[in-house]
Amino acid sequence: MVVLETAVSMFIITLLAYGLYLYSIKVTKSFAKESKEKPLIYACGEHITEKEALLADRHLFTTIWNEVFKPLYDSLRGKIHTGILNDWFFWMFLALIIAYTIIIILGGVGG
Amino acid sequence: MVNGISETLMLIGETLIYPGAVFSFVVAIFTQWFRRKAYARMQNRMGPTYTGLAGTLQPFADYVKLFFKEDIVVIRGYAKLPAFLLALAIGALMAILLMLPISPYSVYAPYDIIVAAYLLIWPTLTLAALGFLTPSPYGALGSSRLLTLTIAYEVAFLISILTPVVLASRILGAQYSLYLSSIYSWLLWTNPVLVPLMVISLLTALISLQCKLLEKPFDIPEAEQEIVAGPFTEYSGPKLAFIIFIHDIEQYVNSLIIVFLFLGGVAPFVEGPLWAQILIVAIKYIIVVLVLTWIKAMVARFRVDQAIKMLWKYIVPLSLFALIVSTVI
Amino acid sequence: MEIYPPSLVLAPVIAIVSAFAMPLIGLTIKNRRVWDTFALTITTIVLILSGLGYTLVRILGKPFVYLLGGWPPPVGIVYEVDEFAALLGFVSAFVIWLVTIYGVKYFDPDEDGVEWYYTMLLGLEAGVLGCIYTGDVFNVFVLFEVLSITSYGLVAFWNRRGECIEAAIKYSLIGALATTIYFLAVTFIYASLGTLNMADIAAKIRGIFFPVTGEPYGNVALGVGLFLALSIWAFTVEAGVAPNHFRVLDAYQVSPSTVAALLSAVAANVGFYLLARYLITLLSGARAVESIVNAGLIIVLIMGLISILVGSFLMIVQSDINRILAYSSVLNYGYVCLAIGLATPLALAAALFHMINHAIAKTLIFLTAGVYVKAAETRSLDRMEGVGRYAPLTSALMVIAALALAGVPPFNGFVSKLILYEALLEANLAPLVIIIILSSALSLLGYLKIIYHVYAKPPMKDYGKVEPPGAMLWPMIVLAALCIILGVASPWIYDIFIEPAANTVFETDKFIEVAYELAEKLLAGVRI
Repeated sequence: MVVLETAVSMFIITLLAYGLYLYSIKVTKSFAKESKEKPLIYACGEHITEKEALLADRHLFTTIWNEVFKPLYDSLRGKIHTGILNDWFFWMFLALIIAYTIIIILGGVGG
Repeated sequence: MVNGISETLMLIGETLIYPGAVFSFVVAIFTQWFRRKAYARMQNRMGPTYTGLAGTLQPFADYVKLFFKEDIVVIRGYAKLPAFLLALAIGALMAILLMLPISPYSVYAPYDIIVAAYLLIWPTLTLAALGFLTPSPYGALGSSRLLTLTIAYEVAFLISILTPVVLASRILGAQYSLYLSSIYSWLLWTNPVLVPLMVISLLTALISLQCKLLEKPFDIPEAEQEIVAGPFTEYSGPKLAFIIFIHDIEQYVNSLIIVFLFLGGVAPFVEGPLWAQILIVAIKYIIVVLVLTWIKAMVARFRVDQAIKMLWKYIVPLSLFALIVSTVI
Repeated sequence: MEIYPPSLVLAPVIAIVSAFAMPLIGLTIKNRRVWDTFALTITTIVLILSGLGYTLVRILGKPFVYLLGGWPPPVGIVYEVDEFAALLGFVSAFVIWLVTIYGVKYFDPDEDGVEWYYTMLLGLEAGVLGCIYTGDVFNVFVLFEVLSITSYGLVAFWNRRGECIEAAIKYSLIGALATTIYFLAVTFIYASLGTLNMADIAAKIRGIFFPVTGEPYGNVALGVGLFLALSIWAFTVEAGVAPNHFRVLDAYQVSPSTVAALLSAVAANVGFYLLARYLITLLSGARAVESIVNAGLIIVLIMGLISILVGSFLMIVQSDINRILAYSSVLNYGYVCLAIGLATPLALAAALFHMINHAIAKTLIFLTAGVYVKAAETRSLDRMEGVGRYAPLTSALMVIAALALAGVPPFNGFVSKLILYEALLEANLAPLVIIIILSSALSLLGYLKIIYHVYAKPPMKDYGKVEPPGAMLWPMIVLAALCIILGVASPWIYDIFIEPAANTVFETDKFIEVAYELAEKLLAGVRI
């Protein structure tokens, strides 16, 4: 049961590493001074507000991904997922016809 | 299933000492030193010299320094969750070591390559999650870049390591297990038909590994000039030490996988003495690290869309070609 | 010892009768609490009955047949339930039960038309259980209609909102087409084999004749081929497998979270159940239609692949929480279809396990999304940032569901994917493994997006009290616990429940034999 053994091993190491982290913050607390710059958001030499520091959803994963796969998405979203029933029916019936043809040809019936 | 106390103890011992925590730490330090030294020499610099013999202890000193620095938690950030995720990632990477032939008692089962694949993806996702757990735009941007890249290179890397596994399983009966495939993989080089497939997947594996390690030309998610340190911008102290450790240990584990699956592991000394086997694996490991460092020193950074296009246009199709051929051959 | 446990048959009957009683109760007693209690009681009874039925089928060790009206099998309507159907029915009843509990507090006290919601919900339960339990191809059509019509009503529940009406109209137009096409399929099988009974169809194709039955007529292979092509299409529309997935996206996006959970987790499974039943139990292995069935399996497999790619690629570019989940449903339907298309015992186990896991995890994530949408009064991820921090428990449950759906190790989604990988590698289809890993990675991006916006982002306004009341919380806790239990205890769950149930799909001989023996006994005048 390889899953169990790797899980046990992963669990042990995780505990060990997390314990080390807890030990580290315990030790450092005793001699480190609390830094005062923590509450400030500092970017490119300018202080910005919290609202400015947020990213909109469309900037998150999709910008790069969208650009690289632009042709794919253009056809997927613009031509297929249009929200118009006629377009949908076209693709759905295409599927039906293809299924039908595959069954007729591969099944070798109707001859 | 772990049967009996002695096997359980064996498992714990392997996890903690060899090839687990202690040994990995030593290897991580050595790898980091070697990489830094080689990289520096390629650029006509000296590299670490001060601590230890020829600077060998410099990474250790760095770890100790980072470990005892203050753990700064930014406002609206999380304190313990990132540390726990990092600990999980380290655990995932070390668990893979148990499936490789370097551990004296390897765990294996049919189809365990899938488990290994999941464990291999885990650290990358952790690193990406780190960026999203800070309110910093650099973190979020770096993470979104990392995730966009992840999809390309993890797929390429998995396809590449699947090729020898599929070949070994279909021809030599390795049952899609990482351990058995590692043991039999050297036999694949003896068949001239399979050599081109192995070469192609070795190349794609090396390139996608370079991307996995976020080294040049793929260091886009942590491009200093653009987004500071990307996902790791807001992390300091022990968490940063963990992040660097994950980087080293990723290089160690993935290079070992390449050594065993592609370069034949203990190959010329399959029957030979133990010291020769250890030596040959070490030499192959150093060669892999050296090649990766050499790529790093040689090239400049890609733009993000260039990198993704290159991965999707050349690396993924090439590796997929090798995989498809290996399933039908 | 012959026992004919009626409990399984009673479950859909009780559900449909109470569905018709619900409007009457709503007319006479204008008290929301009475309606809640009634619906809860009925769903609880149905849950107990289906659980009892599953236990009895397990004890019996073979499919059990129940005659409606006492006619011998090929003539009258029969209910034929094997372990696969019984397990799936139980899981469906369980999910419906939890969703009903959640719905009591989910709908505001002054919400209009809750009695109709319960009517439709009970009707949906009757349709789902009936479709799963029945042993008659035409009865499937009837209950398929029940299921579809109630689901149109459920999608249109918020009938003051334009988007809901639009989604419901699209949903119902396509759904009506699917049921009609299925009716057409039934006419073809009836014309060529002269029977509507599943066991009789399976028997006749293999050259076994029931005591009372007609001869096959005309080109049987052509008839079966048309039947398969049309019914595969109808069932994939019902389930929402690409390219027949369009209607489910809008429907899941705008309908109430409980409805989206029911449709995505329960109603879709009916389509997969019928696909597996028709393609594998009824028709595969018969020499006369072997190539047709193989073609049908290939179609299902390819549709699964398209579904996986479409679902994963479009999932990550959405910014509406429900729409992300809708695409994730399409993605998961793809996995199930892929597994059914492989048609090996291991793959069928993967399909069944994934159906169950998806039902549990998707219900959970839809229910948690309902909490956020209700608190933030928007479905846009950009405008609900940080709302999860006001409901830490719900957020923790949401994270569990997301990880389970993405297939992250200790959770249940990982296990069913692992079995699917094994089935694929066993069938020597390693490149498809890569497609699944790719789609899993992509889908993880989609779920991370939800987690990031809902929980990791700092909140920009005070949402007040978001954490739902206990009645909404504990169904979610149960589902989350199941996500973990099914994942951690998966070796045992797999051995005890999944594998035997999946194997019954392939036991056509038993399926025929049980009905055959019963028919013989009836004709010989034995009282049962």
